[in-house]
Amino acid sequence: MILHKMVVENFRQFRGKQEIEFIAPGNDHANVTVIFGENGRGKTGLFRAIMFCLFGEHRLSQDGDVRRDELQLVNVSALVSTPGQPVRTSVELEFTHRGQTYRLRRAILGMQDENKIIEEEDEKRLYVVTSDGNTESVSTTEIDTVIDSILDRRVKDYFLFGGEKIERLTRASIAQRREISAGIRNLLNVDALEKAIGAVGRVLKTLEKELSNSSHEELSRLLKRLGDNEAEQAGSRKRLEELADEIRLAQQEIDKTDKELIKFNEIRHLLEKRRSLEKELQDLEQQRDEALNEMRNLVLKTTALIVAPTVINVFAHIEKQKQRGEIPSEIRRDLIERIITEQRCICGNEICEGTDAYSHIIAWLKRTSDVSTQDAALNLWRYLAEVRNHFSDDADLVEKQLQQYGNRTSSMANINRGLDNVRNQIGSSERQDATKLDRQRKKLQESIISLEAEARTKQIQLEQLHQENDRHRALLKEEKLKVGKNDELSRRSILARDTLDALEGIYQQFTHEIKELIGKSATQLFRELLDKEGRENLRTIVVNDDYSLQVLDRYKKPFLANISAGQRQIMSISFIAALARTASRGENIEVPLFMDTPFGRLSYEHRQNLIN
Amino acid sequence: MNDDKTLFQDVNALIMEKLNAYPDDVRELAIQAIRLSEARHPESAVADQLQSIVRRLAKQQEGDDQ
Repeated sequence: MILHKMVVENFRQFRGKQEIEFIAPGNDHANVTVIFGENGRGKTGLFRAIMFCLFGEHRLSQDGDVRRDELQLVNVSALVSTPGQPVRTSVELEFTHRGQTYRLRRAILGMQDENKIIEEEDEKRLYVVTSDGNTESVSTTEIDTVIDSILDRRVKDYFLFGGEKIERLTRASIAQRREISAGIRNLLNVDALEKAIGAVGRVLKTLEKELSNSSHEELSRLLKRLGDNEAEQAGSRKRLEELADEIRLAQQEIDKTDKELIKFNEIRHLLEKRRSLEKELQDLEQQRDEALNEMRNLVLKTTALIVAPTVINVFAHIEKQKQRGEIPSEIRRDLIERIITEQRCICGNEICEGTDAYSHIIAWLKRTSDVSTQDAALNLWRYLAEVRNHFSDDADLVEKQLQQYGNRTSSMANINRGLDNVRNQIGSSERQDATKLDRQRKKLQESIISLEAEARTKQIQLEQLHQENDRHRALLKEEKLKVGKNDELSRRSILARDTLDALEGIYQQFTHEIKELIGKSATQLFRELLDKEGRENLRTIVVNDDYSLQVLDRYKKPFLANISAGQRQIMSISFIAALARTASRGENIEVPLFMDTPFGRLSYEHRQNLIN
Repeated sequence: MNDDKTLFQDVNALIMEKLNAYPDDVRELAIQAIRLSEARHPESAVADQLQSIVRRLAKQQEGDDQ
């Protein structure tokens, strides 16, 4: 989809008919349009017009909690100037896709009813210019399908978005994970596979229900346990979703309260300070969590540190024996044994029992060990020398991580103290209405903290249930196989289970491959867009298993928490472009990228790279 | 790792290819499940049709075992 021209009529700020051309016809190289204007001049209005025309959407993601009936698309001054008359508001978009030209038009009628403005859908038309130059009309019922085949509405938010959206992609929140997950799933286009998994799952459930009523006692018992486990898992998952929604709603309430509070001039400076401190705290929390994750990853690698004193002692002991010439012994043990048996030295002197020389040799023989033990000791010495060398590096690494974690925690404590102070000042304001609102806000914040704690506990429970489920499944399969020899129902159930596992395995494999592909492509774009300094330090974008984004530095360490706001935007744009590239399936990208909100935080070099 | 073009040319064809690594009866049931899912039938209707396929494949396996 290449946008060419848009005509708006009485739409938002645009009174009468107005037109914008996105690209000079015939000039395929000029593919970037920059819309520049002061606040309130209608930049977002144009974005809204595109979303309305293509998908019939009235609200944008950045509208937040603004209600649908609070948003008018019709130009208000046009309504005021024609009292009692409806005003037609329309948007017409001309675009090409894979060489074909399309003209899409959507209109609504706006009417003033006492103090309210009512908007009703009026017209939706799509024309396609055929290769012979004729224009054909697409039937109204088919319009959405045609538009979806050009730019699927499920992924539209990745390509037509507000600046707020782009920022959210790099924040490790539930909202972020949901967005990226949805994007990747849409991109996969594996609807049939998803439906097949669901259908085979249903078959299996029916068969296992029948089996649990059968006469096989052990089978029934295992199936019941499995059923209970799955029901518990479903309950936990449902609760996790509820918790995520509750957190989101509480956050929305806080935002609303903030909007009310900011109206009180007396405390505005305190509110601004609180907001800035809270933002700082949020960033620190993210950095602390990353440090914690890093430490978790280090656990396996640095386990040997626990036995470091023993390793050092054993190494020192063998080393001492080596230095004394006992390992490897300078004299061969078999030679000494021969001297004792023959009672004659290699120089020819007799060595008789009871002499000093004989006693020395026996003492040496007792002290020393045989060749195989010596070899083993030497091998151990070499191995321990290698292990010992890592101790210092690993200990440094652990210490550094602990320090980082400690620093973050103590910075958080400082900010929390500052926040308490500001909160107290807001709370003791003379404006009773403000303090009341602030108390509400505090309650909401407390509720978010407890909801998040519950979500963490539920997540751990879910993981434990999952592990338990795996064990039950293995036992169940064994039992089914035992029974299955003479039982068709068991065989059917085994087949359904194996098929479900196969389909789920393939699904997982696909998701993983896509994540790698997008990560690779995003990294390539990211490196092209970054400035020289950024390129030196930031190396790889990784799409994590939980669909959060991470950026690794030159030491392959997670670095997301430390990157600048500009780099975050560059990272997000790289991810979105990688999605577009992957969605275009290796062909030329024909997806529009409409970004509302200029990249104000970008440095000169970043902007230049992006434009290039 | 496939390149972009191969990976997305035909997702379902690629899934079928991956199913070659599984036993015959599993592969057949999975392929039928995907084919039935490609049509616009609801999930429950697909499941109903799969029941008889599962029965047939289990019977067939019993015959093979004997």
